[in-house]
Amino acid sequence: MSESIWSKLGAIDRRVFYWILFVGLMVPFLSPIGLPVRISPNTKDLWDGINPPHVEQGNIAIINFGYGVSAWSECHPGVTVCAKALFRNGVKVIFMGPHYDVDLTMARLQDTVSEDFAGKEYGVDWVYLGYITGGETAISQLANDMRSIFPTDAYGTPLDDIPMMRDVNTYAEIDLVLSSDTGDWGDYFLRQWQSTYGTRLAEVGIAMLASSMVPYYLAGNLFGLSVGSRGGAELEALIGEPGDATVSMDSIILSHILLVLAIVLANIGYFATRGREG
Amino acid sequence: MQRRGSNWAYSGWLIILFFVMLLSGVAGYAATGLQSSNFTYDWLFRNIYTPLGSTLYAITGFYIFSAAYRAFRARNIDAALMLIAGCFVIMKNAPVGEAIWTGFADVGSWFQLTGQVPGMRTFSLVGALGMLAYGFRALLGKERGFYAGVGEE
Repeated sequence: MSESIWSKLGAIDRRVFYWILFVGLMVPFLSPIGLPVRISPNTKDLWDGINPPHVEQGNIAIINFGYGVSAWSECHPGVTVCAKALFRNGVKVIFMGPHYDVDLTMARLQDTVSEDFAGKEYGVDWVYLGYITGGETAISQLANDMRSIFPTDAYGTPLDDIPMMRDVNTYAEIDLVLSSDTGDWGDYFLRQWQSTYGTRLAEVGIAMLASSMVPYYLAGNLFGLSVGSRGGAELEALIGEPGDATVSMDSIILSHILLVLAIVLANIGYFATRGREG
Repeated sequence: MQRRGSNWAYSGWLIILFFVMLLSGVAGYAATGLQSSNFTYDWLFRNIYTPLGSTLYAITGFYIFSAAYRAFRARNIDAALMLIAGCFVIMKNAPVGEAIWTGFADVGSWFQLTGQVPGMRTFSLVGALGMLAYGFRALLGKERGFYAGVGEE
């Protein structure tokens, strides 16, 4: 009898799982859970690294959008907090990205950080260089001659005509790089900037990048590391402004619990069935 | 499309949309001289491509949930260890994990920041050494498959 129960459980149509997850993900929208998040040491190090005394007014940072629209939920909250913190600390920011969605991501950032952008002047406090292609070679060249990669900003203005960029052309004028990625662009900056010239580098990546980036963080190549939506929520807690990642934590709670339950249930069924067969 | 295989209509739709995006982009660039600020292309990109991209990424969650039930089995000790570690990391990432038991966060963090690191370092080092060996072989002309075609002399 029990064997038939496990057999039936094992033959559940996959669409049932889709509906369970769909309904489960709806629950937080109807009734928010709002559990506190504990700050990971890697996220805390990232936060400390973009705040005094590690940065000071007039420093120049690069924020690299190595993610597209599909990864906004994972990367964008963390980048939003970093941009806010850098602006509030008087750091000048260069935005660029190797993803074809980069214009949309820049527009999204101007929306999510609108109050901070409002107090800053384009060309003086920040500049948007736009899309970069060429992979690791381009990142290497960017360290030595930015004008060979970006003769103009994204709006067609020559870099020499942009006050903030007049004296900026190499890695030596850049104080830190924040790379937010779904892929390898953080590695390119790590190899071509951090390990070559010692540029301070941090990663705001999707959760999947954690395992490959943690060794670099532990070795000191990255001064900080934010991992996925969870990292974004931790950064939002650190800056004291709950945002998209904090909201998504509720959905993550439900989806992760359902995932673990599915794994546990499936394995109970597997061992129950196997025991009887044996 | 010529063979009229199953779902051939989707292939046709793909080609139509390819030309719609291409022509809207080229026409906008020809009219304004700007790669951005092209209303038609921007509208298609923001209102069709963007939601589709987000949806496609989100759908993987549903597949993973279904796959977790069907495929994640502790068939041997290696798979069991991986499953246990995975469950701890999952519960560490969800704030409810530490609300249930603080050990989830501690053990999950250990797996993420310590336990997996030797494996990842080994993977990186072996990959780098492999690339060095490959580079030498390519320089010495012993690895010609990449640019001359396998089996061609």
